Amino acid sequence: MERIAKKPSTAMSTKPPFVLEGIDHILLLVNGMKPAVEFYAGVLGCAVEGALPQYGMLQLRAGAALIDLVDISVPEASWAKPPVAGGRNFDHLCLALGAHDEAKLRRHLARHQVEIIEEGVHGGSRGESLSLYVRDPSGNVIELKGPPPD
Amino acid sequence: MSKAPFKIKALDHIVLRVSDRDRMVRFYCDILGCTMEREQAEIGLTQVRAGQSLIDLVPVAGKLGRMGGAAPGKEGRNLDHFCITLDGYDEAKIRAYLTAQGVEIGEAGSRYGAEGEGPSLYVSDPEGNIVELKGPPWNA
Repeated sequence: MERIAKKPSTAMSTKPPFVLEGIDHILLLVNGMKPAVEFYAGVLGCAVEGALPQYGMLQLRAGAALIDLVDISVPEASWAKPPVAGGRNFDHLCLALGAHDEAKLRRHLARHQVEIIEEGVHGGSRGESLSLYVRDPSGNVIELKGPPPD
Repeated sequence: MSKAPFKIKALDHIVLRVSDRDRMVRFYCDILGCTMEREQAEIGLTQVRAGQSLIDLVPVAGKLGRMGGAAPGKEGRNLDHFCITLDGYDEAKIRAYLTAQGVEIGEAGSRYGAEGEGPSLYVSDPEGNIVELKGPPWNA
C-alpha cells in the first residue's frame, strides 16, 4: 500500500495551521487476531467497535481513543505486513486507566495469566503514578497507568 | 472472562524508537507543534506533548533503547501508524504548510477515528513512521 509520496522541500518557517489535541488511535500489528482480542477485549475490557475483515483489521475502543489491530498472519493484511520481521519502530503504548484498586488489578492480570514484566512510578501525560507493564499475545508492550495520587 | 476492575480512559502516550533524536524533535515540535515536556538524556528519553497525550522518543542507542530489541526501519516495524487529532483542519492550509516544511504527504481521505468519521491526511515523519493527522468528525 503506497500511502506516502515524496514532495519537494523548500525552506520556510511558519506556525502550524492547527493545534494538536491528543492521540486518536494507533494501529498495531498483531500475529493472530483471536488471542489479541482475548487480551484487548477479554482482559483489558476494550469493546470491539468495528471490523474491517477485508483489511484483516478490528477497531477496539480504549476510552476516548481507539486501538486498531491488524493481523499480519492473514492474507487480507498483506498491505500492512513489514518486509522485514522483528523490526521495532515502537517500544510501547501506555493506556491511561481511571481510578482503580491496584490489588484487584494485579489479581485480575494474574487470573488471566498476564505477567507483569516491569513496574515502577513514572511520569505520564497526567503526572507521576504507578505503571504496570504487560505484553499482548504478540509481544507488544502495554503500560497500564493509573491517575496520579491526589 | 472476568470483568476488568478498571476503565481505560485514553491513550496516555506512545513510545517511538528512533535513530536521530534531534531530527525527530524538530519534526514533532517545530513542524507539528508538539511542546517539549521532559528530557532525560541519561537514560535516552525525550518526551514531547501532543495535546492530552505524550509522544516519547527513545533513541535506539541509548540506555532505554538498547533494552528494546531490534532496531526500527522502514522495512521492519511493529506499529503501522498512529493518529493525532487536530483542532482546526483546513486541508489546503495544512498541505501548503507541510509541503513548505518539506514533509512527505500521503493520501487524504475520510477515515474512521475515535470521534467518528472525518477528514484525515497521512504524513511521514523523518524516520518513516506514518502519522495520521485527523480533523473533527463531519457531524461535529
